[in-house]
Amino acid sequence: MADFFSLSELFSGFAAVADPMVILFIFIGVFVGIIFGSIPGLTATMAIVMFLPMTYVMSPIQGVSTLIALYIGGISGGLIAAILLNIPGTPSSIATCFDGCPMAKKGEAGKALGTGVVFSFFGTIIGIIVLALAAPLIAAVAIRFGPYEYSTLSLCALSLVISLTGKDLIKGLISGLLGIMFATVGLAPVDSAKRFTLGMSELTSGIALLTLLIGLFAVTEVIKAAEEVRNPLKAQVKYKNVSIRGFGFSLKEGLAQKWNLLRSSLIGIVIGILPGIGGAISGMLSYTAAKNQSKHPEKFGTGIMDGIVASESANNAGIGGAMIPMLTLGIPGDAATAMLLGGLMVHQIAPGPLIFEKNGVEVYGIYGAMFVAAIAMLFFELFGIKIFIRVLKLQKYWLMPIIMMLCIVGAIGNANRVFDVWNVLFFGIVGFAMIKSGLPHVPLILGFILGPIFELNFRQAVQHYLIDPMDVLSHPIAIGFFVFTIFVVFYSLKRQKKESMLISEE
Amino acid sequence: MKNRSDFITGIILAVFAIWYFVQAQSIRVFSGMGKSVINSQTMPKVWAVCLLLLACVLISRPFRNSFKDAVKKGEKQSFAELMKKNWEVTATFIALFVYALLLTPFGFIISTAVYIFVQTLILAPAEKRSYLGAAIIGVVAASATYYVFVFWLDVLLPVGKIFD
Repeated sequence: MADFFSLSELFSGFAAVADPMVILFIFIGVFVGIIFGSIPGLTATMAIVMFLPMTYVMSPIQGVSTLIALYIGGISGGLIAAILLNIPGTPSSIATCFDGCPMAKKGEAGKALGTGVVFSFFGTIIGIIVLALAAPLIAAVAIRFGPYEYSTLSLCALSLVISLTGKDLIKGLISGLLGIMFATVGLAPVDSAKRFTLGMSELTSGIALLTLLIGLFAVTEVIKAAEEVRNPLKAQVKYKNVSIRGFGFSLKEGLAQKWNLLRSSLIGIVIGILPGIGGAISGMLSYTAAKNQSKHPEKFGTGIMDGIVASESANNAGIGGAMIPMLTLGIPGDAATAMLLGGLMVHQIAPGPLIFEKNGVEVYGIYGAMFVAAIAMLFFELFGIKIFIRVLKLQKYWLMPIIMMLCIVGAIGNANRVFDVWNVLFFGIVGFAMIKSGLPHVPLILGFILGPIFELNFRQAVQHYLIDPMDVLSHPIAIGFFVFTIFVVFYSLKRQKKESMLISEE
Repeated sequence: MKNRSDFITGIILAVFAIWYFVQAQSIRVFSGMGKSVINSQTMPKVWAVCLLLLACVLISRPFRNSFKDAVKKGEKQSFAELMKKNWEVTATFIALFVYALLLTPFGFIISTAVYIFVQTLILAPAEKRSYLGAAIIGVVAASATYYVFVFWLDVLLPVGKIFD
């Protein structure tokens, strides 16, 4: 355990975040993140994609803190549009609409916003605490992982993503496979043979995760905006003089939500850890759990605090949850953490079980940055809510071209070459085609990240196996991952069969 | 509609899987590491076969459902109609393609200003289109971004071959 906790690194990490410049970047990041979160169609992932190039020249702590701040602000900002427009600003805030909008209609918009903001804060803090406690433990176990464990773990993670993302197992599998296949471009693991470079020297180093993400998310968002030109979303804030007095609710009302907060945060964390599920599902699940456990379930949906507490604490606690596998295993839980993974790599921080040994200061810096970002989020959303309400009036046709430009800068700046702009365009077309064909995006991203990890470790595992076949039996964790993968696959097939039977009966 | 979309997606994926498999055969296998069960060709070939099988499942779906959705009357649209209906989408792709094409010869500032101008006009509803506004935003955003990234953030952006 000694290698996974160092008091001096803890102080160094927190001291690095206490730097006025870092705090300034965190506050700017949270502010921009909330703007992205509050505007329907813009997400935390987009905010990270757009601001990544600005962090290139920052120190690792400054850069990573800014990206984390964008993430936290982006997830939390969704509640503003959910409550005031009845449109979730981000998918994570879908369940916030259920009670947030009725509360606003009853003249309690301030109370609804205050509840969402305060419990987003508490959810984030609980997520950070669990992250700080669980990450060293998982890293301590993962450091003993070898080729057997990594190859089965990547299979397991991929099977989870495919089975949990979307309703169509076949399409999830296709998406994951496409990600794996795109990742084979470049040099092969083990023997560095050139693969699928099509005679282009630029492809020898492979496709950068960043260009894939920019193409899949930024280009497709611009295309979606183009599709909406003839059918624009006509949503306006109808409520006048929206303001939050104090926290918007009494101390007694707040304390009555403690179990709801705890339960929802834990659901959010667990869902965050599992790859591919995301905040939208965690919000819905915790909302359902809160309703089932409530003494007055009939009031849910009519405008009560409980619904907002459940949704907002869960989606924000999910941030800490999603960071656990991302930091300790290098496996991101969703698109935003995949983007953060790219950001960490840009700043020479290598996620994995050795992260505490190699980048201990930065890891504690990340915890500190998350904490400061949570405070910044509370501050901005409680006192600056009027600014964000005005932002909701901003027209997307002014924003989208500028966002695209900044994404192009990010693509060029990643390796200082225009070639990556073509990659972005290519993945934009792929992303659009996938939307039209009903293929989910998240398995492709995870496939792209996990494919190379699987192939490298699988090839090494086969070599180990050829030397000593019985050695497999001395790897119980790998066997566990393998058995779990089989269980997930069978369960998914069974569920798929059940669902298709239900559809055919209808 | 869904069945027809699955059928077309399946065909495209099957063609891609076959092309990928053929390309995988031309990967040079490094024999200096001794004989191994798995080489650099193996996994790509496995992925290609898996994708081909899954594509076949997609292709077979409409047949299993007797093309019931696909043959609905009035559903078929000509390519020209489809393009006309989605001209903003087509125009956006063309704008992005031209943007990428212009970056190297004309540099970041000119190509970006033109792109923002065109893209804003594509995305704005007809009654709210402002040519002057789009032009000002294009020029200011492109110049300010170039200045900030090149001079403050040390990111190299293309100057343009015409200025060499």
